[in-house]
Amino acid sequence: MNLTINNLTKIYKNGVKAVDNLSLEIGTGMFGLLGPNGAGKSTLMRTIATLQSADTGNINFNGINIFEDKMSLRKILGYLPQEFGVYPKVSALNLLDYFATLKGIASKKERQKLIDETLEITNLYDARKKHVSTYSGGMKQRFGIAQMLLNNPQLIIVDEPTAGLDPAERNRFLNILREIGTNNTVIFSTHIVDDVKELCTDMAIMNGGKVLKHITPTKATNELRGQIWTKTISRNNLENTENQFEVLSSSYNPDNSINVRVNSKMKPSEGFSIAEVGLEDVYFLALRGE
Amino acid sequence: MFSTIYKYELKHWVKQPAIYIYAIFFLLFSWAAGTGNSEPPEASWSGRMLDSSIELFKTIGFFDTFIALLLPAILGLTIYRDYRSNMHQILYAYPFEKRDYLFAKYLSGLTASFGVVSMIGLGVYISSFMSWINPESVFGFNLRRYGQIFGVFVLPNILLVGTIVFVVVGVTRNIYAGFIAVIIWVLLRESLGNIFSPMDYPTISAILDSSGKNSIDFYTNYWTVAERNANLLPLHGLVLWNRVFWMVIAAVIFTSFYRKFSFSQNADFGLRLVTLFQIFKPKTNSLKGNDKLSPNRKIQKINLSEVSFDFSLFQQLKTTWYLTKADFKYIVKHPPFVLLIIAGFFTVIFMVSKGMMRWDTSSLPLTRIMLDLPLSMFSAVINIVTFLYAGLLINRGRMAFSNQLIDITPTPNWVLFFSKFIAIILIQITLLSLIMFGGILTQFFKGYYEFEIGQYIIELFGVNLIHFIIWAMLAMLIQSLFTNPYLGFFICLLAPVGFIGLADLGPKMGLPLLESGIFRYNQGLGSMFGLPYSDLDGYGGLLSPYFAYKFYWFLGGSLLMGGAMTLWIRGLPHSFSERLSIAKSRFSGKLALAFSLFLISFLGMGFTLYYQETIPREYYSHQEKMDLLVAAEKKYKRYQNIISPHIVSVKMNMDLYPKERHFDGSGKYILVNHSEEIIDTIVLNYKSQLNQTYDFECEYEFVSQEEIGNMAHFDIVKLKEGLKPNDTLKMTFQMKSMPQNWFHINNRVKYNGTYINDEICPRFGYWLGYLREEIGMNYDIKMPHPTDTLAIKELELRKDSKMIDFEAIVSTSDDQIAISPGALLREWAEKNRRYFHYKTETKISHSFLFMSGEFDVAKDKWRNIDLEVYYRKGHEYNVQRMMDGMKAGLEFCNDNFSPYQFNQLKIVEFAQTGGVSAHGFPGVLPSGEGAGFTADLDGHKHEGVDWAFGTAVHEVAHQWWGHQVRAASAQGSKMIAESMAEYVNVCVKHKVKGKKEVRKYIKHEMDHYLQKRAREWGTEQPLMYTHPDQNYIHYPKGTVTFYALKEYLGQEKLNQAIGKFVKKVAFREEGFTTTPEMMNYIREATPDSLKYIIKDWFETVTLYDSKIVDAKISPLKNGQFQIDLDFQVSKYRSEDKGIKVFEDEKGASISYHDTDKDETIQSLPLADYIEIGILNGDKELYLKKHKVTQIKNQISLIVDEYPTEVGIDIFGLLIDVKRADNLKKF
Repeated sequence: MNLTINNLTKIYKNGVKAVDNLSLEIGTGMFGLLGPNGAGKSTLMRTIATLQSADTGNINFNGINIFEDKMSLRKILGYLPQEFGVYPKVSALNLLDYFATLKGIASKKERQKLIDETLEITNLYDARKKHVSTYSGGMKQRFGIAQMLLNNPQLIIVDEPTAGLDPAERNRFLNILREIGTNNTVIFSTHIVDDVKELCTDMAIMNGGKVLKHITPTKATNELRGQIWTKTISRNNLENTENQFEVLSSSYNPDNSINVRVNSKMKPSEGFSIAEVGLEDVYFLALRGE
Repeated sequence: MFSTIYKYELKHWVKQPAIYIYAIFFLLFSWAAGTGNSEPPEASWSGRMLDSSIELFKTIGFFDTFIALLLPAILGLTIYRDYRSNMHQILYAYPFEKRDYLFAKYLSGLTASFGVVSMIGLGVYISSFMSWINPESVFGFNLRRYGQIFGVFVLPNILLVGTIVFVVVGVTRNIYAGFIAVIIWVLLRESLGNIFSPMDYPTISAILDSSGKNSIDFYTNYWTVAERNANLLPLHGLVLWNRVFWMVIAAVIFTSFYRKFSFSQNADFGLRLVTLFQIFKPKTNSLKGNDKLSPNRKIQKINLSEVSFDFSLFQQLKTTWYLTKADFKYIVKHPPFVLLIIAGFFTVIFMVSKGMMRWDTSSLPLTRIMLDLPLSMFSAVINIVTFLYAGLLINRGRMAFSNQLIDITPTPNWVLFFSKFIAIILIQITLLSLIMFGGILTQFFKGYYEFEIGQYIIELFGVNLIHFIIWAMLAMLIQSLFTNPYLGFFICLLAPVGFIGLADLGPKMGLPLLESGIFRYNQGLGSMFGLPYSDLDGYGGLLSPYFAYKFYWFLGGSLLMGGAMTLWIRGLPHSFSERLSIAKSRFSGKLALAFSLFLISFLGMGFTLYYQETIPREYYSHQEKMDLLVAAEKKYKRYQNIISPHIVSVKMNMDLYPKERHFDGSGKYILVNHSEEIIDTIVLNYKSQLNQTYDFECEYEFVSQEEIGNMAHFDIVKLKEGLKPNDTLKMTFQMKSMPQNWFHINNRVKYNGTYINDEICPRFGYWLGYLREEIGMNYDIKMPHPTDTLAIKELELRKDSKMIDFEAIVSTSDDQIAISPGALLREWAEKNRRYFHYKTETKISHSFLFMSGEFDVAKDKWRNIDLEVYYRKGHEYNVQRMMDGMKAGLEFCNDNFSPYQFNQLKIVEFAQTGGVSAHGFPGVLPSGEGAGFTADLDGHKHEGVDWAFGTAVHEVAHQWWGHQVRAASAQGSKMIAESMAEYVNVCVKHKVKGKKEVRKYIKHEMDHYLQKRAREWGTEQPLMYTHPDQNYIHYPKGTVTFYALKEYLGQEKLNQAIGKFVKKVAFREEGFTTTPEMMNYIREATPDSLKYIIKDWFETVTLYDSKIVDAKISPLKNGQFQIDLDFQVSKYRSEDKGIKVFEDEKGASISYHDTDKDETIQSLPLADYIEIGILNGDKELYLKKHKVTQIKNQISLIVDEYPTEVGIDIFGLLIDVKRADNLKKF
């Protein structure tokens, strides 16, 4: 299973280049697409999900040219958009039946069985008769997964699904995704680095419509081993430090002192100690390197 | 804060493109409405000013419903916007007061709406400058006239409906509820109008009509042209109360909303309303609290079972149906829709429960009437709902933000698209079913158990559903094109009007082609909607052309659907140009092929229809017909007074083929030269489209032969040897109906209930006036004055005949009976056909007919005369009343005037697709099925006028008034025919039915006259000089006048005078009679003190303006009561365009100065007798004619009982526009 994106470009009417001559190859497993807000992630994902057209380039999945044969892709596609709504006053059961029909499951029995299974997986079985419009945020996201699974998808696209979820919900959500990702291609966009760290076998960092880095998380952290240094400084020194060193990130401590993380092949100066490499460091470094 | 929000909102509207589109459409349509209302240029201008207050009110009032339906898109949206974008969650936390927020929203919405609506004024104003508008008929801009209408009517109406919309959307947080609220509002208004009709409840209906129209009508109904042109709208009394009433209602609605409104995130008090509808759903499905599952529960391995996917065509069709059901359920469960259904159902019930009204009498609840009444109004509702829900369904996914989930499924566009389309059709079927249930329920409660379920189904779903489907197709395109469903809705709404406007304006702008049905979406056959239906004739052969056009537009609609499918939004295209390029790429393969096939069929069908419209029977547009006729009139004017030979004998052979809707006839005329000159040129007319040929039994040649615009032939024949005085000429002619096809059906012969009159036979002389009448041109060739000695040489109805011998052999199919004037000599069968040989006992006027139908026959006798009623089985309800009417009419005329001239008299029913009237032919009275046969006269609550009886009497009277007494072709001829037939009717009614029914009838006729005279754009002639087209004079005014004459002179005296006249002039064959001759007999019978009546009632148009100033009752010691009456009488002549003249010919006039009111009342000199009456209920305590010589009068009368009512001219014998102030009730 292989998704290939070649020289994809999308320019909006207002002149924004959302995707800029982007090429990418994605195999089986969880693929994390990391990038700040406005990086072009959603445009890319929607384009893969056949919802948008591109100006140039093409996308292939398992031999399907998705611009030319949208329907074939849709048959094996699962998609969870960043934001979605549901018809008001319809129960989860009925709504899933609706989607299962749209996805081409002809037999009512098979639909029922599959729906029960997905409800079970997403822990929504007890709430299946409630209106989806009254679900909490986490339940609604899980409903999103349930509808996504209805056609046994091979290519799954999930656009920033964990935003706004409480930690427990997020946890549960990621577990389900991991399960699905074992045999299929899952593309998972986020701006939360931890999501990728916990989940993904492969990742890309994207900004300005371009892929800045395409690498596996482990390799990425390995590459930087020994290059990340940290120091606690006072607030007044931040500007100074930033001028002197390549500061990747900084965070406040409760006492108003600041922890800075710096990229350097060698110990930058006194007071810095070597730090455990995190995926954040990779992320920030990639963004800086633009 | 208020002004900040207000300004912000207004800025928002200014930036909305939709607002400009609304404005442009209002401008355009009001412009079209303004010019559509136009008057012909100079020469034939009627004197009506196009932009008088009342005309402007009417033109602008036309947009009332459109304005109401626009309001949700502006006033509803203004509050809905915040909910939709979830802005309310943020906004409601802001530190402003709800007063600022609500008022700012409300007023900004009102401002924007009013801005858009004011375009109507501009459009109407601009229209007055168009080249085809006669500049004389336009005053030009006047701020007061426009200001009155917009300030007092348009703005308050926006305020009222806008408030309702604003509140409904505010409460439900659903903009569609706002739209539905408007539809329900319109239905409610319609129902109220049905329950409290202006005719029965003038005051209540004036208050209850929220548009204010009825209240304006209340005061302006009797306005003459002069008043209409000059006056501003009356803004007092009921008009004012109407405005105040509805503004108070609006204020109450708004205040109660305002008090309950709170800045909360959920529509709490709205939900309470909505939960009313959840009674049907016992358990609440909303989820409260968190879900109880432990967050750390382990996930088992995901192992989904294998399912099979099916993307076959069959499965996709099944999916379409699945989605259709889902969408349909969604709408049907929608509380506003449920309310709409309930309101619609009651509207239907209110509409049909009265039945088809004629005067104060309703028809039987026949199925065709149960269908006809609600369909016309309900069709608009169905269309509005179609347009609205097309927008809602097409945008449903996007509105719920679930479009991305749906769009990535492998379901093809056409499945999604058609599921919406079919769901809309299901909604249409639901609404149409309401008519069926409402109709059947009404029939059931009225005790009418002949449920024709089949007819309901055929009419609603067989004939009419396709009409709505074709509109739905247009809606699919428009709503797919526009991403703003409110704008799409509005454009859909105007589309039907636009297509009519195009057909209307096309010819004016030099494109007569646009008149053709092939350019008017979903039309054809000239009508917007529906097919006339008759119990006898069914759809009368109109089905095939109807479906031909519907098929054509179905193909056209399919093309629109194709367009809509290519424009269908799938995914997230970011611009319209991207949508277009997607559409281009979609337009390939099967879709392109199907589209091309449909296009070819559409064009082919269009050409076929156009060919059928124009080529086989040459087509002329209305304008062309008028032009050709005017040209022909000019060309042949010199033959206007040509002397023609007279027809003295007609022998006809007429073969009717009802099943084939075809006839084949031939005839023989014997012509005699009754003049003293040799006739060598004969001018001959006959109808187009009858395949006529003719031949004279002498040598002749054609001077010219011309067919005038497919209406009639006009031939000029030169006889080799002139026809000498008293010489005879024989002529034969043949005629045949045109060959038929699916498009051209011969409509003269019906499947059942045929009625063909003598107009199919050739006529002699210059005879083009009737063509004007036929194509609806104003008939300004006026009759000569009766003193014109040339005029009285000719008959009013036929200039080429005086009396004829008539004989006819009529044949028809073996299941029908054929009827023609005369006694039946012989009846026989031959080759599965029935033959009837009729011959008249005496000579008759040149007036004959051929009828045929599957009849039941009722027989009776009056003295020695055979009476028969031929009726369709099932229409026997009022046959006995007709029989009684014939007897009563015969008896009255026979005893008072002269003997009846035949041995038999028949009433014969004909299909109402051939008209709804009744007529009087010699011995045969054809009567439309709606004219008496199906009136509900037996209903136990029926108190109305028995017009099955009355119509029979009236038509019987024509055997005298028209067939014995025959008026010359001069002004007043219709008084002799129609007023006299009505006089007979009133006298017989008086005798048989009593005073009460007659007075009711007289009151009705008076009202009818007063309303119609106000619409007279020309000159109102005095009764004696009435023109043939002034029906409102010789019918209602004639009725009232002759009734009053009888009350003033005494019936016996008057009948003696009339009887003398009849005996003198009956069956005259030359020097035909005129009104002056008749008036001589009446004058002779009139005492000198009443001679003024002849002048006032017959020779001039004279009206009274009397009123009771004061009436006091004082009980007397002896138990009696004294009434002190203070009243005023004034009399005036009404001259050209309704101008009042208070001076007589000698310049004499009287006047009275009312010091209390400081006004001077003028009057013609008086020496008049006025009936003063005092009533206790129906009992006449006092009734006497008093001589009045002054304007101001005081009188004291003593009666035995306490009165309930006092009145000057209490029973309305005299013409008085303001009747109400003549009466005083206690």
